Amino acid sequence: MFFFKKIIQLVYSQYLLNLYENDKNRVNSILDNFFESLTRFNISLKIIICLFLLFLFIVNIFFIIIFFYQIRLNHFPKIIKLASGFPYLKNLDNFLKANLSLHSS
Amino acid sequence: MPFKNLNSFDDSNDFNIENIIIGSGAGGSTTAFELFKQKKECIILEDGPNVNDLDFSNIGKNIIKLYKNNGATPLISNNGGPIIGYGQGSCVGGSTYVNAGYFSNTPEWIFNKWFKENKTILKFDHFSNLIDEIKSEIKVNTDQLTSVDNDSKILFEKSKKLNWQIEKCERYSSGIVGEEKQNMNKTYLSYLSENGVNILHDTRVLKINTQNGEAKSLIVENRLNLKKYKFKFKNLFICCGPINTPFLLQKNRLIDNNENNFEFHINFKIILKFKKPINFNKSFKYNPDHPVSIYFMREFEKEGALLSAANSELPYILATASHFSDEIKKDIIKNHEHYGMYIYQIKSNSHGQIKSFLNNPYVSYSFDEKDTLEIKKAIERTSKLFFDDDVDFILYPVENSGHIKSQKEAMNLSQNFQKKKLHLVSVHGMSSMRYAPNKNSLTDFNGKLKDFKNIFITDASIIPGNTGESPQATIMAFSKFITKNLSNSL
Ligand SMILES: Cc1cc2nc3c(=O)[nH]c(=O)nc-3n(C[C@H](O)[C@H](O)[C@H](O)COP(=O)(O)OP(=O)(O)OC[C@H]3O[C@@H](n4cnc5c(N)ncnc54)[C@H](O)[C@@H]3O)c2cc1C
Repeated sequence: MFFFKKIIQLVYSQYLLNLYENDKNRVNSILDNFFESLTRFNISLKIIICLFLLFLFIVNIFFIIIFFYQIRLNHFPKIIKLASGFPYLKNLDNFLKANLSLHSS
Repeated sequence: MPFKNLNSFDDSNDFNIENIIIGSGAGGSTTAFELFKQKKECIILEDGPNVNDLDFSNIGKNIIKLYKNNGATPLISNNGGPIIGYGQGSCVGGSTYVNAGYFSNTPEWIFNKWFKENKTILKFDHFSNLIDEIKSEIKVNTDQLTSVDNDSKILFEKSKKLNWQIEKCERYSSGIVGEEKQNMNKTYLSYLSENGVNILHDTRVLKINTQNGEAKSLIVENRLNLKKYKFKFKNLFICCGPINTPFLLQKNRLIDNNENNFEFHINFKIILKFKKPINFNKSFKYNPDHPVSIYFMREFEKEGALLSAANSELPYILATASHFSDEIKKDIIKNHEHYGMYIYQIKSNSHGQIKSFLNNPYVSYSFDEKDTLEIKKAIERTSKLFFDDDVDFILYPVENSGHIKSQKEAMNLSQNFQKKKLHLVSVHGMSSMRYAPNKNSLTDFNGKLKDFKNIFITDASIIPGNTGESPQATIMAFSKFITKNLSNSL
């Protein structure tokens, strides 16, 4: 699960920092709280979310190779925007964003 | 007296109890309470945790712990409708612990329709007596407006301005600020536990063993250490809620297929930005006891539509706004006190069926086009009610709809939204295993499962149809009706 925690951090920390005016403590606490909950998700939800995160991770590797001249390692915002064109992927992204919001404190 | 779990019974793996009730929600607690009154031996087995052991500091963590399927049981449309997120509690007290606690009974005209269609033998007068009995056992009150209920106050004032009918909500409530809600935990379950009835939490029923049309025993898992136990019994009452009751029976191959009878309400949630600060709820804590809305706008209740205030804590508003742009979400965080949220509840015409994916339930439903019309009305009516000098914009739960700044823009949205792009939720499900006057009926008028002489269903699954109102009281009344009817034959 540590691997997926890392992907969640990579994918969503920029999104959260943007929302919460770069308040790193708050963003870290949201991610920690959410991750604690993720470990309690039932197996089918865990599988679906982990597959989604894995998909984002693999596409990111492709993007690093294709856009090597940009010298960027994090293409996740672009990938999420593209994924939003596909209803089920958009639903998953929304589900994660809604859940992250609920875990703020 | 504290509720127990299976760790308290370490020396034995086998139990033999006259009546077993699976699920401690509205249906299960009422059934146990009635059995206890009839001096019958009983025990409640509850999958979810004991709420007294929880830390309430984070809303998200609590929703994941206290809701079935972590708060995400999907209703998936098989004909192009939206995915609807369905919420149901899973803890001691079931959904009554997490719910808003509104007390309503099914209106006479709906009840008479059920009776006429031969879906129930319970007459409205008898039903009303049962409701009175519940009111004599559990405190029902209206709550007072406090400084965090400005959203309710605004709803009241705007409804009055249009001369629309608005009334205080009745709640299962002590009426005492800070300790209002009277869920099953504080009422029937405490009473039962004090009188020696075991209510076992973290106890999941996995398997129902049957022989020659009779249920004989259960295989049960202690969720704290995954140890298995065997429970023998004379009678089995299944009260796992309108999705999990048919799911458990399907999993055990005790029913083949359920009919398309699952009915539900749609919560169409809107977020308003007001020009002046109105929201002084700064809490980030999970508190299902605090009243959510003080009023229900009932002008369109005959059509099954009710409007009330929704949770005003920032995490709930942000989560509802998750599909909007980051700019909107940033503004909600920055100007939280200008935002309020309301629920327009719709009695859906759509029907669904319980299915399974990777050993977890979901509902496959067919979206009824009449619901599109109801949603159109929801947009038009809420815009008419709310748009005034004091409102900046409304956010409707339609993807990419952005700020709606006037009634004209709302009318335009109501004519042009796509059903697939709706973001809807539901917390009231029912009728998945109701009696049907035909040979396919899974249950009889007494909730007895077809082909089994000692399995009874006494939860939301057997409600004869869509109540159009908050269903808990109706579920409890039916649970009482069945358990009283059975008293001589058990
Ligand atoms: C957020 C929310 C707000 C609501 N607000 C209101 C309201 O204001 N007024 C109103 O009238 N209604 C409201 N409702 C609906 C109402 O609470 C439910 O309709 C009612 O509680 C359903 O009763 P039930 O007995 O059918 O199921 P539940 O109360 O859901 O209880 C079912 C129980 O069975 C347990 N269970 C399931 N499977 C197993 C198993 N295999 N082994 C052991 N246990 C199992 C579950 O964990 C759960 O605790 C609300 C619901 C929610 C979720």
